[in-house]
Amino acid sequence: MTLAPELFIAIRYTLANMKQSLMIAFAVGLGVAIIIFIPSVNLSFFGYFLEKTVENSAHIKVTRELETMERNIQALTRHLTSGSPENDDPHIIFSDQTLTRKRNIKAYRQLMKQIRGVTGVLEVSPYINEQIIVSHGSQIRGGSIQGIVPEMEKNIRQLEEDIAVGNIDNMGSSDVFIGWRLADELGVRLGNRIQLVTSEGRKSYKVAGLINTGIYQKDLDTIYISLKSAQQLLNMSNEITGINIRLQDIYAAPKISDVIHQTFHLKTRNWMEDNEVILDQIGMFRVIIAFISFLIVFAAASSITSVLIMVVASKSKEIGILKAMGLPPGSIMRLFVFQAICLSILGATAGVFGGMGLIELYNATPYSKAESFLGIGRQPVEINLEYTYYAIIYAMLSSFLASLFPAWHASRLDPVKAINS
Amino acid sequence: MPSPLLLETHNLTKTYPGIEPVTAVDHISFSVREGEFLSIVGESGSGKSTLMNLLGLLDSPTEGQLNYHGQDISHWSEGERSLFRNQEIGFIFQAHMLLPEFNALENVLMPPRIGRSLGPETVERAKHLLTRIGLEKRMHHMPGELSGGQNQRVAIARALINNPRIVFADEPTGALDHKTSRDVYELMREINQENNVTFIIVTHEQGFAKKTDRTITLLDGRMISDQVTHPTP
Ligand SMILES: Nc1ncnc2c1ncn2[C@@H]1O[C@H](COP(=O)(O)OP(=O)(O)O)[C@@H](O)[C@H]1O
Ligand SMILES: [Mg+2]
Repeated sequence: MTLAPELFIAIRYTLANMKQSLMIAFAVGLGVAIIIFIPSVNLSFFGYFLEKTVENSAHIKVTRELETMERNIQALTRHLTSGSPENDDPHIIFSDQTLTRKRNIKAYRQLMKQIRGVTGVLEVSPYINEQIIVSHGSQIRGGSIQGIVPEMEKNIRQLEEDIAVGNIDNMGSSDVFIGWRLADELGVRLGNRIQLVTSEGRKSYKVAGLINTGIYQKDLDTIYISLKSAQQLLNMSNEITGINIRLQDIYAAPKISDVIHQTFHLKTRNWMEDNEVILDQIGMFRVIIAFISFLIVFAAASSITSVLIMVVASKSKEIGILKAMGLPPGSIMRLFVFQAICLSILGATAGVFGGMGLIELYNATPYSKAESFLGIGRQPVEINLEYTYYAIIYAMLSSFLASLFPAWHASRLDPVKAINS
Repeated sequence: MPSPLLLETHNLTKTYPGIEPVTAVDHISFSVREGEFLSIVGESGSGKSTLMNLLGLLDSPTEGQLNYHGQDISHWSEGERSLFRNQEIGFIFQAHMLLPEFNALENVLMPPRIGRSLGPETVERAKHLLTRIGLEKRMHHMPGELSGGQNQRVAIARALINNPRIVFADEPTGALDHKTSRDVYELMREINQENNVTFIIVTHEQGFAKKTDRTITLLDGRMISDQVTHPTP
């Protein structure tokens, strides 16, 4: 099979008029490169930040918080709107929020099994979280203990990544792992003993490991302890504070949170709520990028239109000859559309390489304050495939649309006038 | 027995609209048989080109009728007209009518390419035609690398590649010197005799008109004479 005549001619025109072709390809390529580069850098940055956050925390935390606040709000609202407090309104409850026992989950093994059965849930892990006092010698600090079952917690998040010293798998019933900054403040070393103080009493533990998350506050107050030891220390017998959940699809978090809330009447908090600000930023950024892309594509497209109008004008005699030889108007139209598509392929290819070049260049430059501030360090930026596809599709589509008018104009040329031009 | 009728016109007319409308072709009626070698003469502006364009289906008449093989072509769609031009008609215009981005052979092969009949046989035929017109060593040259006469020979080969019934040549030697012009005419004459292809040639060179078999003279869009100079054998 031979090439359709219009395609054959279009390819030849593209190759034979290299200057023109390069001009258009450059416009398209520049647009494509920018549409690839900007989102690649920014979304990589956001992406690494999120990934680090998501990989290092539970996707959903299930707790059983005091509902007094919510009840109070409801009671107050009803009271204020109806103005008749004597109905069977619940009274406003003033309760001590530090009464932790009220928030504990009992019979958690059964509950964990049930939550694990929810579609989309990959793993579950029980935990105890409580604010306590840590002391060593004369040093006293506040701390946040996390009672965990390491082998279960490892299914939830990359626990080991945060461990600077020690093997968490061997954490015994009287061992603790503490944040390196906390250790520093207390002046303790590996193997030293520290006191954990709660309202239930105090106990002594051996520092068996150090934690380094890279996040200041966490390194200053985190204390890992086995779930059993935490239960003993806090006198919680067979209770826990909450359940950490890992999901198959992290973006299903809000939906699955809802399901869990509806089914088990427990409070949930998911990673998306915790990272609302950054997710908003990403959403905003995508809108801005879409707008910039539109402008770039519009500029490239109008350059294609104007160059093609020039091409058609300069080739009108040849268009007349082709018509005289029997090339029908539809083929003439396709000829110039094909030419534009040839150019956009050339441009898109150049643009993809250009975008990759820009990313390489970016990776070779020293990193910014924001990156070090957020504690994620310089991560090499990778090409954002989603936006690469977008850029290529934009380039092709806009070239196609941009070529329609000049191509239509060419197809309508009167061969007699064209030949005499 | 005379050869079959190829085309006939009845009161073929073309009027260009405007403040002062110009009737470039004014009620012309005549017929052409297959294998004729015919010239159209007349002063500049007499309507020769307009008549050719009408006959070659590049333009549409404002009045009158044009038949090919007894068929009225006025109802043909643009696609049918394109196909007919591709299959049955060859055009030779004044100089510089090759496609500059394609070499001589590719230019000659353009009509079969357009007609989707490009194949080894057509390539052979194109090479044969180029050899026949003395350009076997110039096949892969670009039009810009060829002389005016050579360009026009390539145009003739291109007009003939699809074995058309009729070739229209509008002042094909208008831009050539005398000697080259004569060569081009002789080439057309030989092909006419060898392949029985009909030629309608517009010229203002009386010398060449005399060498054709029949001469039609136009004046202000009207046919003022239709003379058979050499009766077709
Ligand atoms: N597109 C046009 N619009 C208006 N008038 C035209 C057009 N083309 C040709 N004419 C007029 O028609 C007449 C015949 O032109 P043409 O066929 O080119 O003559 P010739 O080829 O014999 O020199 C001329 O008077 C010319 O000015
Ligand atoms: Mg003329």
